[in-house]
Amino acid sequence: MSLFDDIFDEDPSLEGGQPFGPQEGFAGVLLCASACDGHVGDEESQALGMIIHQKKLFSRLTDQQHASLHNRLAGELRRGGPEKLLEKSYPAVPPELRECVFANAVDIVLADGVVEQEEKEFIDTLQEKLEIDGKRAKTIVQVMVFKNHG
Amino acid sequence: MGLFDTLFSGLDSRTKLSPQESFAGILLAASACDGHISEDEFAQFITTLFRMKLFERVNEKQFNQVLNKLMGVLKKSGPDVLVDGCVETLPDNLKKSAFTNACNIVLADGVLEADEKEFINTLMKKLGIPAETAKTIATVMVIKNKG
Repeated sequence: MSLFDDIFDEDPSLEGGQPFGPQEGFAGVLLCASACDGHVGDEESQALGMIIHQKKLFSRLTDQQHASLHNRLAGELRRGGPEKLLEKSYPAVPPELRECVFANAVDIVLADGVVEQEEKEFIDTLQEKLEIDGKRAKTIVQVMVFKNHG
Repeated sequence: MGLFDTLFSGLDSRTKLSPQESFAGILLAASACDGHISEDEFAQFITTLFRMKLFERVNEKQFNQVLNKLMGVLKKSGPDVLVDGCVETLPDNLKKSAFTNACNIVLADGVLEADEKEFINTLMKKLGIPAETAKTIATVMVIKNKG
């Protein structure tokens, strides 16, 4: 931990300590999905970029705001790892997008064709945190497996 | 009819498609079924294929050849003929995947037009996907493409 981390942790008004907005929440959860096995693979990174590019939620952000969002999330991930980033991200996801972010997180985890133990655990944790009904979550996972087959 | 017309006048035995071409052809038809291919739909089409193991041994030159061949059929005969040819040669184990990704592509621009709805219904029947399974797949793809 660096000198700056202490300062940011103690004063939430400083950069890094401010609560996330909907865009940061949504993208933060997906970045956690990419990073939950310890590295962000090429396919996972591409899938994340593609999702953000398509969502109306991000359509009004300027290039500068996109870059700033990316830097902030990458910084959070570097400092606290996926667990802390997730803790900060999921409460900021608007309720109507909770199933959507879950579906996209599952899609990212399956993007490289391999589901590692950490990724399984991440998806289980995410389902609980986002309070997605077990049967509904299972259906979403099943369809994402179809999508990523082959 | 010219010498080259037979090549693209429907998919006869001379243009039998590989599994890669069949899969890509269905997704290309999904992108084009409303009369135009939007930027989002094309980007989704490309991303989907490059993520697949099916395409990992296909180099750029080969991919362009696949794309040119499929585009030729699409322009000459339209999405329905393209799908008919692709469905015949698509391996059974890729049918649900093709259907799911086709749903994802038509929903990629956030709008589902009447032509696209009809395309998905027809594709479901042509691929032999049970209606209940197709409904579940479409529901989850709507969730995924929300927001």
